[in-house]
Amino acid sequence: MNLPPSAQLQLTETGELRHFLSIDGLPKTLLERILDTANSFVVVGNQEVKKVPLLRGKTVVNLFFENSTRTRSTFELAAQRLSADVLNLDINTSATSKGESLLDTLRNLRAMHSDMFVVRHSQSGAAHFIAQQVTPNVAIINAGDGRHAHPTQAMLDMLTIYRHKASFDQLKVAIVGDILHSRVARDQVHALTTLGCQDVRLIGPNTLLPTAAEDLGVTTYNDLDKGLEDVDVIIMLRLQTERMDSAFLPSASEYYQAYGLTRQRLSKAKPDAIVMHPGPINRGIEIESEVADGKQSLILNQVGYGIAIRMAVMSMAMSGQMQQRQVMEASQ
Amino acid sequence: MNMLIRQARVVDPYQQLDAIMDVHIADGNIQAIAAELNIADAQVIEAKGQILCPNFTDLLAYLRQPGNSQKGTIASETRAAASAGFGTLLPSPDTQPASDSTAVLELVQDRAKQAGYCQVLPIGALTQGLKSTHLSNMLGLNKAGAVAFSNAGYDITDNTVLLRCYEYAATYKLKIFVQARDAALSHGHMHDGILATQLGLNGIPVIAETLAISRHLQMMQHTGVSCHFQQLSSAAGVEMLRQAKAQGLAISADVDLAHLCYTEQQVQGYSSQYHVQPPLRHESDRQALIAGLADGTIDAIVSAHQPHEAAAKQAPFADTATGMAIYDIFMPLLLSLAAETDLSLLQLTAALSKQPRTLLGLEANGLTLGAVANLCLIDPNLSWQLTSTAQQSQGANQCLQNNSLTGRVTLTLQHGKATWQAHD
Amino acid sequence: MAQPPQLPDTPSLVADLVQQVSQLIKHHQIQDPLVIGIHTGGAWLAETLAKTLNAPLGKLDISFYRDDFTQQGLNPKVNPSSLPFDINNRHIILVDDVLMTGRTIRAALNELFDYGRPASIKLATLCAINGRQLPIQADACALELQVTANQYLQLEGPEPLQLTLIERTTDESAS
Repeated sequence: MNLPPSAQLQLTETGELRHFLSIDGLPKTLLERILDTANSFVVVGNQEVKKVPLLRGKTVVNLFFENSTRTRSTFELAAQRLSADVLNLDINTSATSKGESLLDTLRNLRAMHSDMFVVRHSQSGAAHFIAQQVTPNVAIINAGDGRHAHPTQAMLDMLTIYRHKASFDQLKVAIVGDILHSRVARDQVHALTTLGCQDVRLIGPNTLLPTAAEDLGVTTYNDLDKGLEDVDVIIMLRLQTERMDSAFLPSASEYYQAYGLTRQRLSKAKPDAIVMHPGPINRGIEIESEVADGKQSLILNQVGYGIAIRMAVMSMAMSGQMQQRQVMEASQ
Repeated sequence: MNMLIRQARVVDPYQQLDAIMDVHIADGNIQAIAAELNIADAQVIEAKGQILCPNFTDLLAYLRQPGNSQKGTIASETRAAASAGFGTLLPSPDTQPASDSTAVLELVQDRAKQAGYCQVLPIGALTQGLKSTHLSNMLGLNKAGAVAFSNAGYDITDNTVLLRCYEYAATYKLKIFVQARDAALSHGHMHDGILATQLGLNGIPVIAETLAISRHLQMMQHTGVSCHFQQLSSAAGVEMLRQAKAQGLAISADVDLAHLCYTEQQVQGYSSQYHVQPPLRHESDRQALIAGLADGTIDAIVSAHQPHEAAAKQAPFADTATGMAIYDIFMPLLLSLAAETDLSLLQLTAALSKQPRTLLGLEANGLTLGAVANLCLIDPNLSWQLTSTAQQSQGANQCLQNNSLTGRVTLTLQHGKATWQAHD
Repeated sequence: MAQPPQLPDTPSLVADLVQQVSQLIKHHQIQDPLVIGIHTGGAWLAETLAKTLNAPLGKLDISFYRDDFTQQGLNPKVNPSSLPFDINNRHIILVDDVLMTGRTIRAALNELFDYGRPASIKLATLCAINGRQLPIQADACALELQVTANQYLQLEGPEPLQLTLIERTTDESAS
């Protein structure tokens, strides 16, 4: 397989998913399988019996080095619906702040014999590092590492698009806001381009656009009105207040003036354009309330899709992991 | 000692010599060099296919002692240097405590002498504690053996302090080694480009180097001090120095071997072994560094050897320590650089021996009759494996651990004594 | 490809199965049975059965209950299970096309019990072949057959329903 090293780490020898770390380099067929699998879990989520026994007897540990109640609870719910045993470890306040290295934390966790870690960490590359340390015994799902990747979020965004638009080929998709600091945006771009989208637009001021962004296969815009012209999908990113303090932006009000999604701006897009946001939303900073609550907004649907996507990747990665373990045990 | 080295390819940049010769060494001195020699009673070393050249002088290596002996010791790292063909090295003043006192300088020189592998010429700290606020006792340090002064990787952000440091150094005609990096722009962990964007890592843009070069050049001209720019990393940086030299400024520059051989692509997959400062940059930068070496803009090649214990590199990328241990793979890398580029062995050995010594005002160590034997013998075709027993440096951060390598130093003589001999 | 053992034509097998199930219901005095078919072949059969018996129809997809998930992974295209009734204390006729190892039925039973506690379950399959790996047998079955290791049976449909005997050419594993 001629894949970048980070993609190789995520796949078994037969191309099955065994860690889910970042979308960069994963083949189109795999992303499509994740979407189809997640679609079946959406159906399960609408049934009376929402639990399936796929991960019964397996232990999933939520290893959150960075706080996030929302993301953690959707992973917890997804794991429980798969009948797994779930353990929540909030590391940020305990050992590592006392100086224990990440490596030692992982070594201590080994004794728990868990099958899967869902990891969120403030450093880019942390999920890869952890996956390298724990392979082949534990499957790693990246719940967000620094500025690098948030693959489950990107895939739930893709599922949202998949369920509401015909195909990716003809779509014009705009991603608006703090792309520089967004781990979601990077994975969204990889997913969109891999799934066949030809027109991906990153919109923001130069201070919030990453270096050499156009080399990712996208077009950059500083003008929101221009960038939204004729667009089918608008993904708004969250603006963190720290950006004002560290000289990336002058003020929230100036940001809203230039990049806030108002009804008027929305009208530049196609009439059936959909509006998405990974949440939590800052009303009046990234998006006008009427748009966030309006009929084109799929922000609330994204949450349900998030559970389905996480169920999909957790079951796929667990399966790939078990297969890989069996292969290794057989060869010993 | 009575040694006859037969039929080596003798490469001596001091004499512009590149020919197959026999070399006779006795009592620590070079007794004869000729196309063919017959010396009775001499220990014969059949060196057909091997390269014989003056041993190398390293303008920057990290010996770790005092203070960080879990990463390496003066004994282990000078031995590693000898195994890479080095006879003289200048250790970074970034020790703990910093090399800002005669006590530290004496300790380093004593330990090096005890170990007996390399001549160690200290670099003194430019500011006290390398804290960039107070001048160090440069005169005293110079008397205690410091041949140059540097603030290591710590940018002196206060222009007034920098000005005073340079004025003071100029007073006593002390040489300044500067690592040109703008502190505020250097908080990243790799070259600022598309790869940094993809990996989500903070990048260090090229202007972090060029802004600093411009600043130091002007300070230099204003104060009359003589600057040597260490570890260039960018094409733009090379071009600035090229123009400065064309204007007649008395500057010199070096580049580390890793930057001549590797680019940012090595960081793919978050490979922390390649987390270095200054960062490995784009291929176009690497080509410009090679061109700069070829046309003399860059005078010397350094190792920038920086050993670390394993844990220092076992963390998410941005949390890992910077620096690469390179002595054990130095010769294989140097030889592959020679094979890949138009750089001749004369040019490369000059950049490793004659030029660094000249810019420091050290005595020549060419292969001349009667001179003390300071040389190394290199087998460019020897296949060997970097196993844990073959490895000389204490550092766990060797890039090619356990790899098969081609090319090795088989013998190093320093001041007439063998400081390194390769075993099978 | 050669088709040794000629199979009886499928419509007559289906009719036979319907007859057997009707007799089963009469014999055991089963009140208000629910007919539940396992996707996809069993679901087609269940439609016919439910219509004839005038009973409520449900469908099960057992993909999430298979026991070979860790070896084979997940089948992404999953049909929705639909049980538009409460199965507690009800009598169920569980319908499938081919009974071989018994693992599909085991998965279906597990799934049913996640929905509630039925009063009884009777198993009706169009045919049963050798290869049982679990102690599971059909209560009504239209065709029992012995096949060799490289033969298997497949029901095509939905219209017309056609049961065929197939020679395995590659190393596929049957369910």
